Amino acid sequence: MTIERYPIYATPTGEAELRAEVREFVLAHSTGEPCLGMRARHDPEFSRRLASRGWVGMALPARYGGSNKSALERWIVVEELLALSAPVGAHWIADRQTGPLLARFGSEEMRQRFLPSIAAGECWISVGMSEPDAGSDLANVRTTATEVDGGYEVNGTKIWTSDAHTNHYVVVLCRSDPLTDDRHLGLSQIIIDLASPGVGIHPIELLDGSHHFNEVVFENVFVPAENLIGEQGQGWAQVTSELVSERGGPDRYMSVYRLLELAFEHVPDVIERYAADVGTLLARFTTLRRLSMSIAVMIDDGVPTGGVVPIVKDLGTTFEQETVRTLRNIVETSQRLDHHADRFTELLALATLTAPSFTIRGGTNEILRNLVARNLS
Amino acid sequence: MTEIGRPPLIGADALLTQTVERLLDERCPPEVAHASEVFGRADADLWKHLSATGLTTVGREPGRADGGIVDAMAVLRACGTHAAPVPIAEHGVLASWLAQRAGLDLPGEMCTVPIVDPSDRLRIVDGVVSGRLASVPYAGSATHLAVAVADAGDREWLAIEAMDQVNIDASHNLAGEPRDIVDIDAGSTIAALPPGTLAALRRRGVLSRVALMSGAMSRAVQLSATYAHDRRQFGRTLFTFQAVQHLLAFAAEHAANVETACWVAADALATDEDDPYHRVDIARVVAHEAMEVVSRHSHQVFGAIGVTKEHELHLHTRRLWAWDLEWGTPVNAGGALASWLAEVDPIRRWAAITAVGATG
Repeated sequence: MTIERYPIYATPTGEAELRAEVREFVLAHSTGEPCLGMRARHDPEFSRRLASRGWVGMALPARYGGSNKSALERWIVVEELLALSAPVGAHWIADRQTGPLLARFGSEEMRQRFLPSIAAGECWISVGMSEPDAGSDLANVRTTATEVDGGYEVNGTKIWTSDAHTNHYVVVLCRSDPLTDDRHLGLSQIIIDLASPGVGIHPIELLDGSHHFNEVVFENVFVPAENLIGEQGQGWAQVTSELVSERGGPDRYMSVYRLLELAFEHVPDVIERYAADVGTLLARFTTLRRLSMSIAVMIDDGVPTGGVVPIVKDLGTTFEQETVRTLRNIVETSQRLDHHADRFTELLALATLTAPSFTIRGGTNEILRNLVARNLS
Repeated sequence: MTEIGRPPLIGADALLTQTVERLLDERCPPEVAHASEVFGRADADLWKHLSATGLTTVGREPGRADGGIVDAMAVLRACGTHAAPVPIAEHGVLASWLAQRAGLDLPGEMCTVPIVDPSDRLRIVDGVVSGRLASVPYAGSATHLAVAVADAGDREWLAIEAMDQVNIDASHNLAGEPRDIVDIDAGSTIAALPPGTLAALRRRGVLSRVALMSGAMSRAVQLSATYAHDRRQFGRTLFTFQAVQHLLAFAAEHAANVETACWVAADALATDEDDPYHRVDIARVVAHEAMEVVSRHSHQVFGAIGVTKEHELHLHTRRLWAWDLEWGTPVNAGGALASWLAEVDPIRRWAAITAVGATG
């Protein structure tokens, strides 16, 4: 049994210039107010402007409004956007996973219908996977899509649906065919207009007072047949490919970058006194991002990334939690969230409340470790 | 939008890596490391074969500005996987490089280099080096010793001593590898070194340990994963228990992380031996964290047999614990890293972390 090894790459030509371009753009068009990575603000105007610069839907084919860019180029731009706390919230999911999903599996008609507006930063899409009884065990979804005249009737409940209250569509993983011995068969992905009759969106408030999650109930929701993504019954394979995009990218380790940056600015004496502890965090961070970059290059090269993606997700999100833990250990903080707090204090308090979710969202780390272990067979 | 080129792969020559791995598979089974510890000497037979294939000086290549350091780390990694009981880091990566910088030929068959230690006591007066070196790998097996030292005026010098001219007091690191105390008081060949050599030497020393550790960690993970698939308890293999899978998975993740850090640091030194982005410090810290997880988890999977002398595992875990603290400490490396970043202009900090573009 040999241990799998992954390619590591040096900086490509043009990277410094591209990052400088992105930096200049973001500083000109947003306040740069620090936030926790992908919990970025919803800013339709910013999304549109970013798209007109060609930085939304980058990897989509040019004939659909994308720019035929590589996964590596997108990785560079996205990491730079997250480093600057750019307000990418509105188009984030559509850009990161739904656009590529439709480009890969959608019909020509579907691509023409959705991809241009995704690439324009104007079509915002939610992920409808998890359900009350289907979290880590995603194949256990109970939402059904029954064939009716002209389309499907969808019934069921999705949960943890980010931004369903502000987005246009949701891609729903549902059971379209009768259950057989293999639970992974008979699942489909259907894209549903969130304004459809029968769709009920209920907010879920989190412990930090934020609302971005929702419960979405589908009661006899009619969906036209042309909203089926790919082949009926092939939803599981499609979802698996979609999850790769979600798990190996910069959003898995960039959540706390601004927090670290602010620590250097606000508490330099603490940084100096506990330099070794801070150095440990920096060492992890600088190394992890190189593995994430490798994933982008491997995607471009068509090399399977199933082994390395869970590594970045597990180590990245663990690093994010360790950063919050270390900073709370070494800094004297009032832990206030209101206007009495400076930016660093506030972000650290918010991070404290948000930290448990780092190792849960996008697949719990325990499941990810199962995947890593599978590679040791 | 600026065009992005194809990123260069950081990696050693594939044929070289294959050659050294095959040679070690054949010539360095675990018995070789066990025997070397019993006899207290480097394995002469292994050294002969490594020398014959040119693998002992791959860190130095005529005409290559970077001295082939990425290739050298691949050789060290393979040696780490096999617990090869020879001073290949000292001879190949450190001594040959020092000699090249001083414009000298590397003398002798096996040249060692002292690990820079805070308790070294060296003086250089009128071109004569004398004093005590606290930790010299394989002094009893080597033919020569290459010592880099700064004089009172901070000028840097290389002294090459024949081992039969020095006094050796045998000692060992935690893995039972010779780390002898050596007294020098004879005059010998001495040549000037360019300024900054001592600092660059330390970085190469650290990187050599990181590469060796990376190899040892891969082997420890491989051994424990294989064992978990073979060993049956409660009517099934250890591997079928999720708790065991998670121990192995976390160890494998850290092994992947240290390998990444090793290549990044090797590439950094190949680009600029001053390592302005502190990639070697990063590699030291990552190797430390990784080896804590890998050593603990691999021992946990093996249970009692893993802590026996007879078993192979300790050949690797004792080396991990030993190498972790040779050529400097992770705590100092972490501190240096954070202190450096604190000094960087705030506007340039992210660029310093990504190591793309100037830090100023």
